[in-house]
Amino acid sequence: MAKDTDIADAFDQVNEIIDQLEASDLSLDEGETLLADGHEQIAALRECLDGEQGEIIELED
Amino acid sequence: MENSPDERSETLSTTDEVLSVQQLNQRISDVVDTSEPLQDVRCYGEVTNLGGSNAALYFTLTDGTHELPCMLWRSRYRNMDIDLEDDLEVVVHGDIDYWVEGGKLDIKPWRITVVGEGEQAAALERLISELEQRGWFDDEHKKDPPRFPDRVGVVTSLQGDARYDIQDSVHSRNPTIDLMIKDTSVQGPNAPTSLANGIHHLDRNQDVDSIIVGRGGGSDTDLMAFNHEAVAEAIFTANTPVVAAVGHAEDRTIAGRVADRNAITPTDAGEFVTADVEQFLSGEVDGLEEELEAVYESFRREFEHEQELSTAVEEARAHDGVQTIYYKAAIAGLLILLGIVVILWLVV
Repeated sequence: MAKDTDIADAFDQVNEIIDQLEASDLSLDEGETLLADGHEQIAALRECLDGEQGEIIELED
Repeated sequence: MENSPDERSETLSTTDEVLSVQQLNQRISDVVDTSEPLQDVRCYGEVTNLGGSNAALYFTLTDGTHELPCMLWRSRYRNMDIDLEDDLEVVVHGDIDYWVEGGKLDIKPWRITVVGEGEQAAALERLISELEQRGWFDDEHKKDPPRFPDRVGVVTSLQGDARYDIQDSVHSRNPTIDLMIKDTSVQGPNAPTSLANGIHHLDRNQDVDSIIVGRGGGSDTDLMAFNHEAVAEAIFTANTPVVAAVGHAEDRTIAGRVADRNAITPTDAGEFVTADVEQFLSGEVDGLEEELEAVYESFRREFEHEQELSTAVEEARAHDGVQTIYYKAAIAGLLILLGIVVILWLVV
C-alpha cells in the first residue's frame, strides 16, 4: 500500500506539536518532551521513505 | 527448407562469391527496377507521417496494419494539383524503387488521386466524439496517483526501450519502488486486447498502487492500439490510477486522454507516479524539522525571559519589604525620641 497516509499523519502530528509549542503554556520539561516527540516523528518519516532497492517483477504476456 | 551448416558451406565454396553491401544492394535494385510487377503499380491507402525536405515529401501509406514508405519529388508534387495531408485517403500510382545507399524500398509516385478522408481517421473521430459524450475524458473522473507508492505496475513490451525508460525514470526518483512489468504487444492486431488485459491484470492486484501503460514513439499506425476502445475502457474502468506514456508530445492518443495522467514520453512517466524522494526529504521534511526547532527555540527563549522577569519582580518585592521596615523603625525611633524630649521637658 502507498505510504501517503503514514507520511501525511506524521506531518500532521509534527504540525500539532508545533502548534502546542507556539501556545507556550508549558513548562520547560513539557516543551523538551514535545521537541523529542517531534524529532521522533520526523525520524520515523525518514525511515518510512528509506529502504532497499525495489524489485523488478516481469510477468509474461 | 533451410540448408544444414555443411550444405551451406558447400554452397559457399561452390559459388565462391562474397559481395560487398553495395554490390548486393545494387543487385536488389536491378531486380526491383526490372521487375514488371513492381513498376507502374497503383496502391490504395491513407497518408500518415507526412513530412519533407526542400527536395521531396516523405509519407507513409497505410491500410491500418501494413505500411509502405513513399517519396515524392517536390517538382512532381507541384504539378499534381493536390494538397497532401495526414489521414487523406489516396491512390498512389508509381514505381517501386530501391535506395541502394540506404537499402530501403519505397514507392515513388508520379500520380496521386485523392479518394477522400481516411476511413481510419473518420473512425477515430467517431470514437473520440462518442467517448467525449460518455464523459470519459472529463477531469471529474481523474484520480490522483499516490506520491509514495510501494509498487507500480507497468504495461508495455518487455523488449521495448520504453520499459527501460520508465524503469530508470521511476527509480531515479524513488529507488525503493517495486516495478511489476506486464509484457504486452504494443502494436499490431493483437495489441489492443493484450494492452487491455494487461491493465485489467495489474488493476486486480491489490499491491499495485498505480499503473503506467505505454510505449515509445512511432507512426500513427504503430500507435493505433492506444486509440482502441478496449484499451480506453480498461483505463477508464480501472480502480488503480493509470498514467499513459505513449510516444511523444504530438502523439495524443485516446488512451492519453482517458488516463488519469498523460505523460509526454515514457521517460516522463516517473514524475507522475512518484515524488522525488531526495527532493522531498531535503525540501519538505528538512523544512518541517527546521520549523520545529525554530518554534522550540522561540518557546525556550520566551520561557527563559519569563523566568527572568518573574525573578526580577520577586527581588523588587523583597527590596520593597526591606525599605518599609526601615521606614517603620525610623518613625518608631523618632517617636521614642520625641517621647523622651517631652518627658524631659515636663520634668525640667
